[in-house]
Amino acid sequence: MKYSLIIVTTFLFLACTPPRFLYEFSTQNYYNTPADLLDGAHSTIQESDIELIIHDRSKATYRERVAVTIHNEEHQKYADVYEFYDQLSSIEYMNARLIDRNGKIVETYSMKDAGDYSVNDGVSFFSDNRVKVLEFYHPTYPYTIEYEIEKTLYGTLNLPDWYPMQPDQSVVVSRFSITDYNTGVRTHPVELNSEVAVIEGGEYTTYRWDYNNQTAIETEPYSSVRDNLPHMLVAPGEFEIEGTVGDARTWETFGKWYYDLGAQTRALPDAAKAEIDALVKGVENEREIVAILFNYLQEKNRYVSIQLGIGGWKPFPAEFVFDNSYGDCKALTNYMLAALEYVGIDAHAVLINASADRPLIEDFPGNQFNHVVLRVTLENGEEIWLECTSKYLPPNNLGNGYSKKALLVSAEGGTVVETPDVTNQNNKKVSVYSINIDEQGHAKIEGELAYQGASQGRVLYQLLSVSEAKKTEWLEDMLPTDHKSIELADFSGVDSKKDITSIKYKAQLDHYARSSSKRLYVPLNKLNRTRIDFKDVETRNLPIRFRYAYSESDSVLLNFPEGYEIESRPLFTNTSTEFAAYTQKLERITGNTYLYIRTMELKEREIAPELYDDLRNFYQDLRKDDYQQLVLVRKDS
Amino acid sequence: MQSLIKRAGAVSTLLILTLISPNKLFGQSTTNVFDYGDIPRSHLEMTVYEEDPTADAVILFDKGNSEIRYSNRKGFELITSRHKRIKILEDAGVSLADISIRFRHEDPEQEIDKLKVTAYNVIENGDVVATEASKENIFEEEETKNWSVQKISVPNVSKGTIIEVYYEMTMEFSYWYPTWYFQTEIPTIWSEYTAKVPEYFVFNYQTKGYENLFFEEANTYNSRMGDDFQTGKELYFAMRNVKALPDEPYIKSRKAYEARLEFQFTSVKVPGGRTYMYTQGWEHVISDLLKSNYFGKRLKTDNAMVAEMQLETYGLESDQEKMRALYNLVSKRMEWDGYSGLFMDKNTAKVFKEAKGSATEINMVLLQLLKEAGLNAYPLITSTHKNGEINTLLGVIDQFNYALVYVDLEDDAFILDATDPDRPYNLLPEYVLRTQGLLIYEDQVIWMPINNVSQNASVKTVLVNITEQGITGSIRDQNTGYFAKELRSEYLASDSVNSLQELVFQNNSFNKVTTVTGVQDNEEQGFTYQLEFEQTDAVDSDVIYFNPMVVEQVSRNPFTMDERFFPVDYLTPFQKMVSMNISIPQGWVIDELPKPIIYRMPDNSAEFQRILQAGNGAIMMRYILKVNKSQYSPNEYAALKDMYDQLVNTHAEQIVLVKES
Repeated sequence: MKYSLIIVTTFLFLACTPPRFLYEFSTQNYYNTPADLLDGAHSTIQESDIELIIHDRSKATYRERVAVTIHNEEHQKYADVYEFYDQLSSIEYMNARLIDRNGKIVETYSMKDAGDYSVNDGVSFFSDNRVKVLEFYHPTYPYTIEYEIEKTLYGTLNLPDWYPMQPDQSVVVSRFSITDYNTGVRTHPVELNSEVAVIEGGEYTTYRWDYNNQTAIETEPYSSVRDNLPHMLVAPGEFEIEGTVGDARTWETFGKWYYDLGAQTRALPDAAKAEIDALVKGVENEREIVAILFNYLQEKNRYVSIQLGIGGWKPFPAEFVFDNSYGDCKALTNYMLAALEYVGIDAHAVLINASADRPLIEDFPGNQFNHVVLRVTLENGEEIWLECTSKYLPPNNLGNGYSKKALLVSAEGGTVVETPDVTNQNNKKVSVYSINIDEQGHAKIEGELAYQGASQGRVLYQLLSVSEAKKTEWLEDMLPTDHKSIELADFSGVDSKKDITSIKYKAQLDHYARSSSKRLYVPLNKLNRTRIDFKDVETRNLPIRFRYAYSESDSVLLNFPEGYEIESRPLFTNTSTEFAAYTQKLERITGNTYLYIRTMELKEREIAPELYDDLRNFYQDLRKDDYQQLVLVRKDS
Repeated sequence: MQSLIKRAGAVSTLLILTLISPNKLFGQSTTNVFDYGDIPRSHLEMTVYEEDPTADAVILFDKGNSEIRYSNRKGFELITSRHKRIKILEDAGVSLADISIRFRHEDPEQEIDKLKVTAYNVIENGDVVATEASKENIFEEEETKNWSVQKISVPNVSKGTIIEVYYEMTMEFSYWYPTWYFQTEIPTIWSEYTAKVPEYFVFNYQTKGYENLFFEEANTYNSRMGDDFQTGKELYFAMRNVKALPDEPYIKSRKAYEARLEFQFTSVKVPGGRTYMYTQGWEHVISDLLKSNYFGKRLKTDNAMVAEMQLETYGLESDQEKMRALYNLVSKRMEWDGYSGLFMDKNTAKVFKEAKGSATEINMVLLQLLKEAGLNAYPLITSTHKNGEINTLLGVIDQFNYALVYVDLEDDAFILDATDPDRPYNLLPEYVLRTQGLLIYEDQVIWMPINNVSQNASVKTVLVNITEQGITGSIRDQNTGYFAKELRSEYLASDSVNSLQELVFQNNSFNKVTTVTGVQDNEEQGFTYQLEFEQTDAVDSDVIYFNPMVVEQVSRNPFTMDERFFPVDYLTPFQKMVSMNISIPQGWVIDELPKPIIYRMPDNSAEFQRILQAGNGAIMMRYILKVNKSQYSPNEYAALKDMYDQLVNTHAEQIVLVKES
């Protein structure tokens, strides 16, 4: 509802005088960008001066002054000027103006014109993140937006990184400087080879980088272009946030700070202790105790993300989780840790980055994390990894391939460890079918599917969260014909306590194969065809990333009606590369019974850009073979 | 859907009440099921909702009550209480424990009071444990300038929990009662709404959607409400066993079909004083709108607009040419911000300058330019599908959320909408098709049906060349109406080969566009392209199997459900034609050819035919699919579904060629 009579009757209009800019842009003409900088660029940073001043470990000032020319509709989004803030930061000013292609200032806005919204990060139910936005639009390109923003940071744990360019954007002049009053701030360049200029100012040191006359970097699908853009990561030395003090210069000290935040939050109420005692009473085996407590955590609690100020770092106390039966990743992990501490089993929180494709930069300690899991170590040295936010993943299954370095925290501090790898050996799907086809092409099918490893996650989540009737609907949706009836659907193998998730069913599928007056067209693989189809490209610069490595195996026992003979049988291409391989084969067992076997494995999660064509060809071959048909013709025709 | 209201008729109200008493419905006879905290055992122990075993959760009851209180200090206030119980049946329903109550924190301010939220769980020994949400579970978020959200993360919720919520929302009364939604994304066992309206307010109401009212009653009441002794009407409405809002394909707007109750206020008689018309008939609506600060008074033309108008229409003779020129100016220049709404934030001169605005604002810019050019142009106001149908018997402006332009030329008349640069003047946005428009023309009430006037067709001429080395072909495709619009939008958005690959063959096809040999885009006549393609899955064999539906193949029936609750909306009729010539290699003969088929819906409202003929080293195919109606009722669903079954079967048939022996 944007307008209604109720609302419009109380509108007010404020007369406004255009704000004055504090910063003077040096560029005189935005519309003679050199041709090479226009190549592939939807917008150009004409001038960018970004300044970070760290006054002390508890306060910093961040200033952005940018003039960006928008060349076409594709980058109209960069005409919007916005800045995020929360309880630990405030925007001091925001000025922006639009200059048309004739150099005329068309519109000028200041902070009072900005829309102010709560930010929905897509995960959190409630957070204190907000954004102020000034929106511009102009009908004729090119046009230029000049803006300046100042923000104060109360706390220096998260310092802004410097991205001199966005994808498909070129740069004429860009500067970044950090002025540090002796807090030990650190930087780490990624794909950036700007020389640093150091200016000693007595009480402070200023570091400055320039990045000028740079052509645009194009976006490519199946990759995170942001990780591959030139940029400078910034991390604090000593930092303070809401009264807590830490030092990010070593993993040890950074981990210690995180550990101490949670150290006082793990006292369990007596009622919780009593419940735990009852659950593990008489159980001796440590691994069994972990499984019991983990199952207890998963059944009792739900994941709710609430992030406020330092609450973005400090877990809700274990008592809160016990009383309310919910929490975010920190709170649920901390609660599980408290339960394990109580029964005397060694466990530690491990900070990880669940979303970025970028591996941990080990020689650059600081906050590179957005998620936390738990590592348990049994007395015999065996490790068990727990994803405490998942209601269904079994122990030692962290879901989507966290084969990466991470930070284990303990009372002694942080140490870099590696989470278990997801490989095509431990992430598998195995399917076995028996299919009887009649003369009309209708099929009676018996299937058994088994999932192991990361690929279990999705199936467990989709099936364990719903009713029996909806599970059957899920199966129906998966089966590839319009008309079908399910005779048996057995989901008893879908169990979060099992290492393998399995499903069994029997169904009748109408027109599974197609028939004519004299032929039967039988698809060999209608139940697990690949959908991946890479487009042709001229050049590929970025690596291609999959969610995880995996392997699949499908066996189909096919039985045909009497009175037919094979007219045409497929020849499979069966391609094998260093990063992936598949095989398909069809063999006769007896009489009208044939066995079709398909195996597929993606061995690497990340494929180098120079292998793009090989990868495309591989999936083209696979797809073509996945769609092959066997043609039977009536003997009497 | 007004006719769906069931009246109690001759049966005594008392008897009906006994029969449908919610107490009885819930299997309790002594206590009132609506008492907060008094949860029937049967609900606590419920594991499946029998009426819909797929449900993740079910609303046990949802009870609303609106009334107006008068106080000398605050004047008239609208107080709406809400009392609701939800049963969580599966883990997927647990997310309903994260409750968001949206309200306005200013302009006008709404206040939430008496908020109480409780979770009930049965523990091992059979006892019921109630956990009430406390401060640490409740947050308030200021979402935008005017809107806030009260967020409650209910503690101790898992499969089996019952969540109970109560709150009251108070706001200054401004001739508005909330719309009561009987139907939501999860099924509802019992939903009731009571509205008390003091006698001096004149109002009307309507039920909408596809569910029947189970009970409806109207009584007079006398009671003390605040500082006031009130007499008025008390209305009571209830529905039972309301299914979850179905998610069905081909639907103009799910929201428009939700079962709900809407109130409209028309006037107020101040006790002992005069009557103020909130609205009285359409004449007043029209003149009020023209006088409104947020509509009529926002219609402004400045020198910049006049200059642009003169430039664009310079040298043009006919009114129609001028209209088209100005339409193109506005639709190409202005960006729609995505909002609809009848009232305007800014005047048209400012909107023109900023080149961005709501749909109404953009169309009113066009109106001003047309008027300035001397054409007879008027606003035509309507309600989009999402906003719901207009009740033409009820003269209130709240029903409208969109303004178009009506242009009356000497020999012809047009309805224009300039919000999308890819749509020519003779094509309206789909979300206003088949709605009623009210012409904003002083002193006369004129309703106008808003219909599509352009033909919606695609005609493909395909040449296929089968050789022993492989299969290649070419397509020439002429599109008009919405087909042309879609191609234009997609085609212009990306590079031609890839966009046509997706539009013509979809992804995952083995037909690959090799070159695009021609594109003619005449916005008013249509979009035509020509391309060449090859099949990449050819297999070397003694037999060639070829499915002639290289384009327009329907491989799955879009209608999979056995039953349909809402009508099937195509919004506008269409037809698709393919004529194909397939040349076969020398020395090969046809072994099998799909049989001709002509299929018609029983009332001829849709049909398809496909005929294949062999001759002279080639095969000709002629295929046509016609949908002649815009909407099919749920009763016609089975026939439509059957047609698609036949279509899918036909489209799977293959041509077989063998070597001449």
